[in-house]
Amino acid sequence: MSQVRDAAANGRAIAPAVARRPIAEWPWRRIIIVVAGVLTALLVLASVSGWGGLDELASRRDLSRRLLPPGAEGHLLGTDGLGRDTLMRLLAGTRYTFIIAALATLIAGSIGIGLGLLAVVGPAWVRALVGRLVDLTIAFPSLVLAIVMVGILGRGNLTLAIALGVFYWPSFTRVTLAQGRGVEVLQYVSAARLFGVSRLRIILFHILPGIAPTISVVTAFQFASLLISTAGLSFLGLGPGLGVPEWGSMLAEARAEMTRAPWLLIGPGLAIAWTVVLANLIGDELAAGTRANRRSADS
Amino acid sequence: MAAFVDRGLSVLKSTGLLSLQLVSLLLVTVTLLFFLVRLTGDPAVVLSGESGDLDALALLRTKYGLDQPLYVQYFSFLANAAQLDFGVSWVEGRDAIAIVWQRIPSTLFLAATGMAMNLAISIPLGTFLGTQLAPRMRKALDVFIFVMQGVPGYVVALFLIQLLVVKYHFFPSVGNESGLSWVLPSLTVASFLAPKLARVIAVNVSEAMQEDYVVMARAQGARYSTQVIRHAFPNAILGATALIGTQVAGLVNGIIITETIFGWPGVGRLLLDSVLLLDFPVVQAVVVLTTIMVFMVNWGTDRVIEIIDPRLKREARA
Repeated sequence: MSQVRDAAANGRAIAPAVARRPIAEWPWRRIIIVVAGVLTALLVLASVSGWGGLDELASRRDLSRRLLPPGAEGHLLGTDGLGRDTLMRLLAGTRYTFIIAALATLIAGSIGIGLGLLAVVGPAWVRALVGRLVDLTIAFPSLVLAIVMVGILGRGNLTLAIALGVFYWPSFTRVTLAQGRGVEVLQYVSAARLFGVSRLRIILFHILPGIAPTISVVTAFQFASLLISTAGLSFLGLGPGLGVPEWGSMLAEARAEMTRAPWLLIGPGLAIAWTVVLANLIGDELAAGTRANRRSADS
Repeated sequence: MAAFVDRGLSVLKSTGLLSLQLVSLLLVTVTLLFFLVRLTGDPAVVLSGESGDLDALALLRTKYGLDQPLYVQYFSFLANAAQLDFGVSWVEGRDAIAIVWQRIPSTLFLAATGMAMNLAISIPLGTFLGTQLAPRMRKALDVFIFVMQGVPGYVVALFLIQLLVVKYHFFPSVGNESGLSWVLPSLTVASFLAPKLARVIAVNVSEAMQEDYVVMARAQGARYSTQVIRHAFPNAILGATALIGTQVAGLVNGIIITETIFGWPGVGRLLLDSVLLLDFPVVQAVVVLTTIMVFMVNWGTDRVIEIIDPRLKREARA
């Protein structure tokens, strides 16, 4: 069904074209991206390990100091409707939003790359079957089914990650299939096969490294869109639960206080935007690197 | 005559293939739904609510056929689903499918206005970004769009509400009653899509500006605006059709969230409400109808793309 659109996308190479534009012209971009990436990674680590009693700080209520504006004494980003510190909640929320999105990306990637590799080395009927599966999954209204899954199976970090992950894998499969078939016909793979290297080893040590750069680009972009969906679902009330400082639920809470404390929207909004923009930047940068490599290999 | 018959056969074949695809898609969807609902445990318990009276449970089981073996339930569910009969809403007591039908027009309206808004924003913006005009402004807009690509539509919506509804009372915030209430929801739907589309159009326009036919037009002394609008743009938008098609097919995702934020009485909000209330008949009806609609839209979009750019049909076949 979507062959026409595939042809349209292939002929004009949407993704690289998007990626090539403007950020590549920024000076210092690589340094900035690396610094921002490392900083974010540290924040994630701090949040996951609960460093410095972060969770306790994030959930400490003080009803005498509710809805303080940003810059209030002791609360850099102000406090929410229960007097909890917004900055601390955002930091603690990394563990939910970021990790759920990462987990969903991992699930989608494992399914997608696995099926893709299977289709690359498998017989024709496997390839056809995988192709049908991709078409089928793309035709699903993914968010609709994710909502239904979370709503029925009950809320939780893992449920959310699974519900999103199982519908976001086709782009991994497509890339794996397209790139993998290109690598599979290369001489070093044929040579390995002639030497009697097992099929599994060929997949893991010959084909997978060859497609890894492209996969990493897709991973970055998929993570970005999965993070938007993760926060979106918990904004709708299908997140990990009440009172949890997940960024999407924080937005929903902020919405309830919007007339009295509009600044509460800024924190979670910025946190989501920061992470997504960073992931997109990294994706762009990786794509630029992949293209540069290919060019130098061609010439 | 033979050509006519050939053509008729090929239409028949493609229609058959299409319905086969739709049927298999729906079969998978319905099966998934059936077992998802059974995973939650005994639907009779959900139905009876808190009361948990044993007699009431038994009565409910007989009434909804829940005392039958699982495979009997599955096949009768399939048979009913094939007739678009999902039973009666557990909350409203009306036919589930009728409730959904009622909501579809306003969702389609939002989809149409949102997509129109998306095109109205990204076509001029993308074309401008693809030109050589006003370098500083272009650069600033480039960065702005790149950042906007990272700001989800629901965040945009909340800021719009804060600014235009709460602060300046420009628009009503909820519902779809008054004349202007469609503006903010459509803008929100568009904000999910416009940044990406604008960037793709920009790339395509700037590439087309290097092509021979534009160079030729330039050499013949065409004005800059003519070069861009008459020569570069038509080819650039052709390159964006694939993305526009994908966006049309994916509209439903943005619409669900938008409807919920703005209290728009469409299918998306109905889905969320009925999921939260565990109103399974309505949930099932929504999922099946959206699956059909998305499938139709997908198919229609592909046909439109083919009409716009017939080369793709040959490519897809090859």
